[in-house]
Amino acid sequence: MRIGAVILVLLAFVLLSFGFGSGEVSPVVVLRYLFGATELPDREHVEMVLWSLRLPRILGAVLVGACFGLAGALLQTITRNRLAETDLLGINGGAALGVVAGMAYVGAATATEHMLAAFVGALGGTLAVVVVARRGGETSSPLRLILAGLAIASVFQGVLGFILLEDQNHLDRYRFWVLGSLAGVRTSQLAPALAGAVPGWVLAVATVRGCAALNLGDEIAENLGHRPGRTRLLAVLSVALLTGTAVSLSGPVVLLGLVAPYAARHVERDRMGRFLLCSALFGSGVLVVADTLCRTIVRPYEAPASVLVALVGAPLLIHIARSPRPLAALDR
Amino acid sequence: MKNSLSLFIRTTVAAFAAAVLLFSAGCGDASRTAAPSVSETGATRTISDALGNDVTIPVRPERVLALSEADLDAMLALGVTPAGACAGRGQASFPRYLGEETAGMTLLGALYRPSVDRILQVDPDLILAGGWLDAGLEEQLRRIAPVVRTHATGDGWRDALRGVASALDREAEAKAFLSRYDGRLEAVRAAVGAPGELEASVVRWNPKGPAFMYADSFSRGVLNDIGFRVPEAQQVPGPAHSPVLSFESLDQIDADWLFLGTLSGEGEAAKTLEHALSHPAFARLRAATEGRVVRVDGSVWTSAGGPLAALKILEDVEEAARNGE
Repeated sequence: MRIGAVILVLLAFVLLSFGFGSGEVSPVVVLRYLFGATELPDREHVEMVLWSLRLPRILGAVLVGACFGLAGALLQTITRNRLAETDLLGINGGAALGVVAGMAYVGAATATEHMLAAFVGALGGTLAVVVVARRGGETSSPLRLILAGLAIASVFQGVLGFILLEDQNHLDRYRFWVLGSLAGVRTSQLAPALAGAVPGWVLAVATVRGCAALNLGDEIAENLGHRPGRTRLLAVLSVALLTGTAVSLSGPVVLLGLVAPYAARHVERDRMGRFLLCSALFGSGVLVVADTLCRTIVRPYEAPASVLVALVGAPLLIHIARSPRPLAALDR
Repeated sequence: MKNSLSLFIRTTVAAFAAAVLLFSAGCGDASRTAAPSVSETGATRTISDALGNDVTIPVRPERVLALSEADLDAMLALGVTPAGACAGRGQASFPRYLGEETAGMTLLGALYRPSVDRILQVDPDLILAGGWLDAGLEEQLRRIAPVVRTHATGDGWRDALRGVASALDREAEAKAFLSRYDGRLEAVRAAVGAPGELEASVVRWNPKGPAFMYADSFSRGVLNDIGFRVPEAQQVPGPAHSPVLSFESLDQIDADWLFLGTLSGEGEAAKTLEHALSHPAFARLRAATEGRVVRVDGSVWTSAGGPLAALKILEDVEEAARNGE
C-alpha cells in the first residue's frame, strides 16, 4: 500500500524529469510530442533530446540511486548503525580509487573496465572497513565502525591524490566525475551498468531473511539457525557490486546512502524486504530530482548532482548525530 | 582535497628548499666568491621587467630557466634553448608540440610547481617567469638567480615574446618571428577563404560534456588574428574555458569550424573524436554534418601557449582548410 505510493511518486518524478532540461525543449513541447502533435518545429531534435539525452540520464539516475539507497540500507542493517553509508565508510572512496588507478595503471577505458575497477576498489573498501572495525568476531561498536571508515576513506583520498598529482590528464577527467554527475550518460553505458547492478540486487534479496535475523542480534540470529557471518559476507559482496556499479556510472554521490534508508524507515521499518526495496526507491527518487535540478539551475551548464544531494544529506547527518542516541544500535 | 594536498606539498617543498638554501649558504658561499663566472665576463645590465621590477641580469646568460609555458615557447622561438623548464599543462614532460626542440633540457617539475631542488642543481644565471608565480617561490628563486617577470597574468603571447626578447637581448629575432607569423597569417587567410564570414569554435572535450574556450583565451587570439568570428553564445570574456556544457545545449559550440582539443595523448585523442562524433547530440551539429570538426592537440589549443604554439595553430587551421576543400 505505502510502497505503492512510493512507486507512484517515483514515476511522477521520472515524468517530470522528462519535461525539464537545459535546452529549448520545454515541458510544453514534450507534452505535445508525447500526445502525438505532428506539427512540432524540429521534431527530430525533440526526439533526439528525449530519447538520446534525457532517457539514458533518467534511467541512469534511477539505477544509480537504487544502488546507493540499497547499499546504504544493507550496510546499516549488517552493522546495526544508522550512520553507516558507503561514503562515510570509505567505500565510495575505494571505488573512485579503483577507477582512477585503473585508468592510470591498467589503461581502463571502456565503461565495463571502469566498472570492474570500481567493483574491485569498492570490495577492497568494504572488506577493509568490516575487518578493521571487527575484533574477535564481535560486532564493533557503531562509533568504531565510523571511525574506521573515516580513516580508510582518508587513506584512499591520499592515494587518489597521489595518482592525480602524478598525471594531470586523469585529474582533468576526474574533476567533474568526482562530484557525482549523470551528465553525458549514454544508452550504451546502461547495459554494462545493469550487468553489475542486477547481481547486486539478487544478492541483496538472498540476504533478506538473514538480515532480518541480524536485526535481532547475532546471538538470537544464530539460535534461529542463521549464520550471521555468511549473511554479512553476502551483504558485503552486494554492497561492493552496487557501489562499484553506481560509482563507475555517475561518480561518488555523497550521503545518498544515508538519506534513502532514513526516509525508507519512515515508510517501512519492520519487514526487511520492504525496507530494502523502499530504500532503493527513495534513492532513485532523490537522485532523479537532483539530476533534474542539475541540468536546469545553471543552464546551459551542468551542476554536479552530488552537491545537491549533499545539501539534503548533510543536515540529515547532523540531525541524526544530534538525536538522543545517535550511535546506539538500531532499535530492532 | 586538491588544495590541501598541494598546500601540503608546497609546504614540504618550501621547508626542504629552505633547508637546502641554508646549507648552501653555509658551505656554498666560498665557492661562489671563488668563481664569479658572471662578473668575470664583466657584463651585467639592468632592465625593467613586465611587472615594473628593476632586475640586474647577465648580458650573456648561459643557463636560463623558463618557468611558464609561454616563456619556454618564446625562448625556443628566439633560438635559445633553456637549461630547464616545467612540464606542459596536464602533461608528464615538456609540452608535446615542441617535440625534439626540448632535447637536453632539465625537467624542473609540474607547471607552476618547479622543484627548487632541481633548480639549484641546474644552477641558473637567469630565471624567466611570466604569468602566475607563487610569491613564496619567487622569493626563493630570487636568492638563486635574478628573476625576470617577462609578462603579466593574462598577457598574450606577443607580450611574452617581447618580455623574453628583452631579457635575452634578442629583440631583432623577435621582430623577425613576428613578420614570419604575419606572413603565415596571410597564407592561412587565403587557404580559409573568407574567415570574416565564418564562425570558429574551440572546444575542450570531456565525456561528461564539452567546454568552450572563452574569448580572451590563447587559441581564440590566434583565430581572431586570422579573422574568424566568435559564435554569439561564446562571447564570454576571460582567458579560461567555460564550465561543462549540458549536451542539450550543445548548439552553443556549433560553428562553421569546430576545433576539438584534449590534453590526453595521441591514441586517446583519436578515440575522443570518435566518441564525440558518435554522440547523437554532437552528430547533429552543423560542423559535424559538414565535416568541419577538426581534432587538435589540446596542449597547443586549450592551454596558454607562446609564439610557436600560435604558429602551430595557424598550421592546423591551414591544414584543416586544405583538407576541407
